[in-house]
Amino acid sequence: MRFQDTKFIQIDAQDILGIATAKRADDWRFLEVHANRPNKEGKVEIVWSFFDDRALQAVAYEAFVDPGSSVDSLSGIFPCAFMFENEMHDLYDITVRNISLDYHGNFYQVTCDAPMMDRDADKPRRTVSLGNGGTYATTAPDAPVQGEARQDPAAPAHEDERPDAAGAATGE
Amino acid sequence: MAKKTLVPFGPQHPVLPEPVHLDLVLEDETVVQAVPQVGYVHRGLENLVDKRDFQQFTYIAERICGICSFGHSMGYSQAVENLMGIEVPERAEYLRVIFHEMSRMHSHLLWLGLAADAFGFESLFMHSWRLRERLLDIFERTTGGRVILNFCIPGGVVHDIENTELEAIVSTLRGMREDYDQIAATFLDDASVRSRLSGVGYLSKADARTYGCVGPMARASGWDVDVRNNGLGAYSALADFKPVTSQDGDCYARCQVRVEEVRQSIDIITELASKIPDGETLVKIKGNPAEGAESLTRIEQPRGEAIYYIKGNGTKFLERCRVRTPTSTNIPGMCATLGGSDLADVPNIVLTIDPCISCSER
Repeated sequence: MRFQDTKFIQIDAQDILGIATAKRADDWRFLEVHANRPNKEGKVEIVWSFFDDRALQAVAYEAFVDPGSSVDSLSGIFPCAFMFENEMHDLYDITVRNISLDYHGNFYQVTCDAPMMDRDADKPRRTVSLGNGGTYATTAPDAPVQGEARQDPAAPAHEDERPDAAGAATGE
Repeated sequence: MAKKTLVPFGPQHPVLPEPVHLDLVLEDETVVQAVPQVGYVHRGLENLVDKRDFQQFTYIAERICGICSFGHSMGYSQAVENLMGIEVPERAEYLRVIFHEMSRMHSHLLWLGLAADAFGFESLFMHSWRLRERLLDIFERTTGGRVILNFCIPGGVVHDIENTELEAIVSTLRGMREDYDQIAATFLDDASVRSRLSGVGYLSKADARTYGCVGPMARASGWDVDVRNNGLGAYSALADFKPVTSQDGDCYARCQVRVEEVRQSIDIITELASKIPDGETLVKIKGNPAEGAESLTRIEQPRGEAIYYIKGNGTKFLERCRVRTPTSTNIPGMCATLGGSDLADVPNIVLTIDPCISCSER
């Protein structure tokens, strides 16, 4: 089996525009951009990935930013980026400057702001317009997936019925 | 200058099995701009990494989409194996590719049927889906359901497929091929099909690159981007693999690429079934993904390249799982293609990117 090797490189978020411009000039392909939830220091990680079809090499550039901060859009260089940048804004509350097509928070019709930002957070619900003059408030609580939900990421995980998963839990 | 009119297209439309909306700006009957709107059924599946451990999450990943369910379980499993440095048994690699190619055939036959239905050729639609049923019968016989679930997991595949069964699959596909050739000839040679698709929705190779198109949409514009060409997994055992491409860049070319890819998949399955080695099909995974470990892997799904990014945190739960699906990156190219087209051609153009909204709204 051949593993897929990706280089992960730490950068400052403000450098991404220059990097993307150089990648475009060098005929690299833009794969995607996404955000990760805040780490222990409270910083949100943003990951931009590119691919070189000649060398079959993927590179991911990672930057840590404060929650709610803004980064530059790559949609002027790679037009397909606007989909992922709007998604990042709607799900993680990262403002992206100069998106070629900015939905201003209406890309995904989610029921609360930045729903993926916090673990197990009980967020205030958003009022949804029905388009006929009426509205309804989505007040349903976060319904946990059937089964036991983990409250603390550092807490030990529950035992599982599958023997291999149970083995993984004990680090065998 | 003609007066501009805004025409809403979707989210409910006869050619759209799933909800996507387009704001079409028209001048007379010509589209000058198309603005997409997705997000009607966003499910937040990626957030379930908190609720399901990294092995259980396979069952979430394969439920992203009903058509490419096997592709998602395979892509996610490869990402986990890449992250944890797990060597999958060679036989499992072969079985994965065989089933992945059958999924591609099933997806393309489904699309060909939908396309025929969209341009009013109902008998062709029925014949395409009749052939697809034979594949679904194979799925049901070998994996227990018409949608492949719980077959591919991190470490390999859950059970072996015996060589006699593989021979039966190859025999079925060989029998399908004769029928398929007749259907393919109708798709490619029939005057009414050509009149609806030829010269419609043109996308140049340069634009396909600029807009980041993948899969048959990119290959129909002459760009041979195909992850299978990178020699990963059992694809490296193929004697010869060359992506199917076309230079025309129109709807007909996109149909042509998918028609030829079904034949190519039959060839791949036949070759791998004759070469498959004996041995185990599953290795047990021990331990958890290390804290801070990251993996980004690619897989060629029926609609194009999908990306899987996962990150570990030292527990059996992942810190993050991110799936970039082919439709997400084909939509900007589709909107560019719609510019300058006739309003009557919009359904065909939208259909020829084979949009999968449940993938996009994972």
